[in-house]
Amino acid sequence: MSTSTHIPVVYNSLVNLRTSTNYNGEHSQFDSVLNYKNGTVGGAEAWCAAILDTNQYIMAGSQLPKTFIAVGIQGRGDMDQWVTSFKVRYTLDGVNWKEYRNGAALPGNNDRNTVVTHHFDQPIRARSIAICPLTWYTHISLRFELYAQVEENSFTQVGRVSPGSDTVLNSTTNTGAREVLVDVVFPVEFKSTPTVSITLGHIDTTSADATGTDVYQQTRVDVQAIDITTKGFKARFYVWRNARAYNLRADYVAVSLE
Amino acid sequence: MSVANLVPLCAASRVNIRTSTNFNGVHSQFNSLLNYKNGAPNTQAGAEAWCSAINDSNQFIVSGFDTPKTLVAVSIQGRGDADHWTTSYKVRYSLDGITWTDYRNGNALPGNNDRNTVVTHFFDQPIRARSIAICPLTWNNQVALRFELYSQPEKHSFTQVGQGITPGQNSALNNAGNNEVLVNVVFPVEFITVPIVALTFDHLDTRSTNTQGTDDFQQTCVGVTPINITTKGFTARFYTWNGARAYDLRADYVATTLD
Repeated sequence: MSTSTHIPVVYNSLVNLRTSTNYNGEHSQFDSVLNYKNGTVGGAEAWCAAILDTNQYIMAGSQLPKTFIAVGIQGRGDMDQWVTSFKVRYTLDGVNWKEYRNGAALPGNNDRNTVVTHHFDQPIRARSIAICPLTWYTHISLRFELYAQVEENSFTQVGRVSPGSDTVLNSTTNTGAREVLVDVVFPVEFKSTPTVSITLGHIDTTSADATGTDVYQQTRVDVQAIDITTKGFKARFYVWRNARAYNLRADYVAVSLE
Repeated sequence: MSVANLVPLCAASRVNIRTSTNFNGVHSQFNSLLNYKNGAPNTQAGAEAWCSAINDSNQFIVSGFDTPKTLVAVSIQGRGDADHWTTSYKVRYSLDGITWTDYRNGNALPGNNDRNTVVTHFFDQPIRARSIAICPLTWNNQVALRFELYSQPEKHSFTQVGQGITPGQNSALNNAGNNEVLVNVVFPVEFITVPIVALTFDHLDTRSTNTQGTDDFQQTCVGVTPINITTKGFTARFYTWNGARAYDLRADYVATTLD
């Protein structure tokens, strides 16, 4: 399985990183991205713990949930130190933590630079996820990456609009196709042009023709959003043939995705 | 152009910051905020700047955030406690997290010529991104900088929907005159603030009462509206009037908060 269509969240700086301990300021999470290299100055080419026991971890967290597909792990680049097995823990709600595969050990590294990638049995949906070394060679040191699914964010605004009562839509003399356009301004401007759903919540209609023909019992009313921009749209209220609308109310839902 | 009314993301701690390399633990992104001062060089608190470990054109400081931001400007400044500064840099960014774009095709932007003068660049068009990297191209003595990113303020929405709200078949609405039926709705989760609610029909089963040839008998007079909206739910008010009767109705809602 490939990770090339997934987002490397450490590389892209999309997660906060917290560690149990750091050997010192030059062996921190700042040095923990996969393939991190820093030359002869600048400390370790890995995160290295200060304490060597099974309570160490490096944890990634973000405000919004992410769907993690895989984790990549690598040894320390400038010395023979690596994590030979680890477990993964995670939480979605921030209160309840779960152990991936019930805390079973996952295979880690056996050298400095070979990246070992583990694809999760099922994608893990989490706001925080921790890599917890279980066994190691010489020292608890690792570089890593977490791969997440590409995910859109949506932004939604709702509102209502009415053509007003007794407009041209209610005419008995001007029959046939008639429309009323109402300008709608969104409460805040969207960052990209939204899709707008608009539907009716109040219908007050009748027919123009009082004679006994079919036409005269029909309800013909339509509402649409046109000329949609990031700032607003026009609500088009429309009746046709012999229909009359004394009043209407529509509610809209506008959503942008990116 | 001014940065007033823009959000200073680094000062507000709204970004994750990752660097290519750090000279050491006290020359890191922790010290990279515009105008950062810590008493250096008279303390153990390190540099007044982020300083890289390697001096080449592969160095960068990348800021990232969960939701896209509209970035309007970037400010850059030299190191406060030594004559180190970045004289030119380029900017790269990504919206989807997969594809990276070079601002102005990777052309160099003017940086600093001293320790403290802030140089602000307003992007030609606002940049919409989840990650943005400052990549030094030329420097004086050492790759070092303090910086800030300015974004437009942006609201966040939270939305819940519900389906199938109905007054029930053959209710009080199935009679002529002014009638209403109230149905309580509870949101799946409680909102943090009171939402706005859109409530409209997807099923109408209506008729009129009057079979004679008067106006009344042709009318469709039916509506639904949310009342008593709280963070926990609302009451759906189904109503009819004049000669209209509703045998059955069904409505869906969309409730949204903004903050």
